[in-house]
Amino acid sequence: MTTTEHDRSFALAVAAHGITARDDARVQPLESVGFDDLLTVALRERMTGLLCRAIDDGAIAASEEQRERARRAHEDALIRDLRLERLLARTSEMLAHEGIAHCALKGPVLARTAYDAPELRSFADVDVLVERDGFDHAIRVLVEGGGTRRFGEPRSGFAARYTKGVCVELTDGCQVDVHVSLAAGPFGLAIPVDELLASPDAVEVGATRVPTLRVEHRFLHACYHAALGDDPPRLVPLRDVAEMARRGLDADAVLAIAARWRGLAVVQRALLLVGATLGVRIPEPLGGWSRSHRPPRVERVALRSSLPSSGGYGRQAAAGLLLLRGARARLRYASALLLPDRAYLDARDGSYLRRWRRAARLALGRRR
Amino acid sequence: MAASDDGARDGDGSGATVRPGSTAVHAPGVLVRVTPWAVVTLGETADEASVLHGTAVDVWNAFARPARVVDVATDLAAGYRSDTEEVLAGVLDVVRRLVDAGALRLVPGGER
Repeated sequence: MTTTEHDRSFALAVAAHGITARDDARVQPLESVGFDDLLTVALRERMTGLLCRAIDDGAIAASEEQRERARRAHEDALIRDLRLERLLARTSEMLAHEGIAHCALKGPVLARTAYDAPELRSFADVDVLVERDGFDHAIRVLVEGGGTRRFGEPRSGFAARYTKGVCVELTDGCQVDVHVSLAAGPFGLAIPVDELLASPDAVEVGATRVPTLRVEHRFLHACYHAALGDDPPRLVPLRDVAEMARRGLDADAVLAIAARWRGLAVVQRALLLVGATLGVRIPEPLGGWSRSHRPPRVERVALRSSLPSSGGYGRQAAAGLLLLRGARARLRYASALLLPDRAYLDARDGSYLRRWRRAARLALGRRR
Repeated sequence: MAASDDGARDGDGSGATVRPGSTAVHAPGVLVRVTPWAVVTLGETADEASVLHGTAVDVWNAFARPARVVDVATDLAAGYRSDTEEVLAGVLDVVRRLVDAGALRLVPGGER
């Protein structure tokens, strides 16, 4: 085993601590493989809470000085978590005040609903899903509140209709990701977001009741994030999936919804990644389903196009045509991509001809 | 109470009028994280979070329900087998900081 593999094994032991019998790192002295590296990974992966618990439980051997450093790092992470939670509560109140239907997503919600204790799940930003009709309004309100919108759009209204969403950066460095779907690319386009917003759950954040996705939708979103987000996948999104699966889900309901979203291939990939990466056994019937399911071809093609290694945003955007339902919707989408506003074009391809050539290369499967 | 144990990191409270007879309770909108060694709080309007260690955690826990400062100090002193006056001074300091930080709320009319 190389040093890098050894370091990785500690990170994996932390990410899976408490939910798997596999504790490879237990008997080995941490000093020999670099506590600094482990702490860096724990900070990057937002799992300092799991690191502290693994040290306290004796699953990771650490000196008193290392234990103290891990604790201080975790305290700083918790301070940031609370600031983000407060931002989430204020954002939710603001959106509700403006009459914009929305749901909180990811970290702050999963920390409170999917883990033994919220301290175990840190996060980097605030994510909210909003109704498409309220998207521009939501962005405007956040920008008027001092935020800066990152990234432009091919045409006015494109982001609201076809993308996963946009990020608004606030003056204190915190970010609010405003989503109009749960994933970028073709799988995101196939999700009926209005249905998600029509039947929300809620969590209490301080004195604010914040709407969230209901549990089946939360699980599917966790799968989409784990399967499509990064390559190699980040560890905490995998842990999210494992935590939710082991807490018991209505598997039939989950898979029925995933089928309607044309996202069974995504769910399968997420579950297999959890097993292969964290060594966590997914409970039945989802575990057995993930090992035997054969996804439809269109989903397999869309999945390949959606992975971070597939060639980036352009390829994902092109693959959007695959899962959109209806010729009119596809035509409208292709038109928006190929005929963007002049300012957007100038900032990227420079001319329509260059853009169309790039689109043709993507369609033919070439990267350059 | 050892000074190093009852500090509230990032808290520099000095404005709240807290007396031994004051009644306090966790503020309704306060956000909290609990670890085996610390409690982190962020009040609704606070600029900074507070990180409580050691005996400051005991003080925080004692105000989960409305309680008088002097009663909390008396109970803690009995538990620590320490001088009540000394503990009271420490509790007053922590409560002032937490009230200033928006983590604790003084109960109106709770002064006795």
